[in-house]
Amino acid sequence: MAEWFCRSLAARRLWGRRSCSRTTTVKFLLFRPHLFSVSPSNNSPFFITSESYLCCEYRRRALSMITRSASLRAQSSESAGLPTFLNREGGATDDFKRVMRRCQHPHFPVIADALHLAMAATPTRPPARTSLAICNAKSNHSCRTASSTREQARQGWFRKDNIVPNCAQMAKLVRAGGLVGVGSHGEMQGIGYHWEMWMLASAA
Amino acid sequence: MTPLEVIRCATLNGSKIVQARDLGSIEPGKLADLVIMDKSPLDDIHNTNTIHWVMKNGELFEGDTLNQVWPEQKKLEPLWFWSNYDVPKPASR
Repeated sequence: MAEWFCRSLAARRLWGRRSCSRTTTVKFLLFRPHLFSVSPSNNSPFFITSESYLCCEYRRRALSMITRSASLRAQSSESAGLPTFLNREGGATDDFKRVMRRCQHPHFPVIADALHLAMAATPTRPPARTSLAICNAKSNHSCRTASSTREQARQGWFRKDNIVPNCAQMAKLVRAGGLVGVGSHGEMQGIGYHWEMWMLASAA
Repeated sequence: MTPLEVIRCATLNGSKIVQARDLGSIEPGKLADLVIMDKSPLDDIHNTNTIHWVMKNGELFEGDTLNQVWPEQKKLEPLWFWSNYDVPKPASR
């Protein structure tokens, strides 16, 4: 994601500075040494990282909980449709907490800075469906939970011996002289970067 | 990939990509933001989570507690999500 963002930034800068044609920009972007992202994006939908796997899983569970429980929707005071997860101030709504409690998986706060940045970036659409997470970067499996027990915290936790498919390409790229970087999303602050490194190391 | 290649990807390549010339490796003239580990990640890449010290912006922190130990000793102030999950305070910077 970060790589993609940098690339699009570079492209935008190019567009602005010299008013070059579309083809030269595309050529510039194609033939420059590039970063490739293994996270799901518009050009590589099948690559998946440990972190995004986890977040997808959480998101799926949370959404299934929402759709399943009609009582929850009836109790929802914030909106008529789907419950919103974050209120305008960035705090978790009652809906969100109820869903997370029913899902029985750990829910965590995000670092306030990151949240405010995200909310400032998208004023009309708060980062509603990201799973709120912070974890202890020193542990492989366990994490600091807000309200759940340790067993619940471990539920669905992505283990380090699960090897992420399709990242052997990265090793090829590095050995051919390509520039490969490591980046992680903000959902799993602290541990995400370690996971990405471990994932790269798992490639042959 | 070997652990060394991974570490190079995580540090030096990243600084090349964002063109931060004073980051990415331990050299004279570069910024010394360091992570000091108990076990060598060159033996096993999973040792990257054995962080002992963190040097950031000229200050040394203990990895386990995030207490500052150098140049002055300071305990980590309680973070908002330890006690109050609902109301994050806006960044005071």
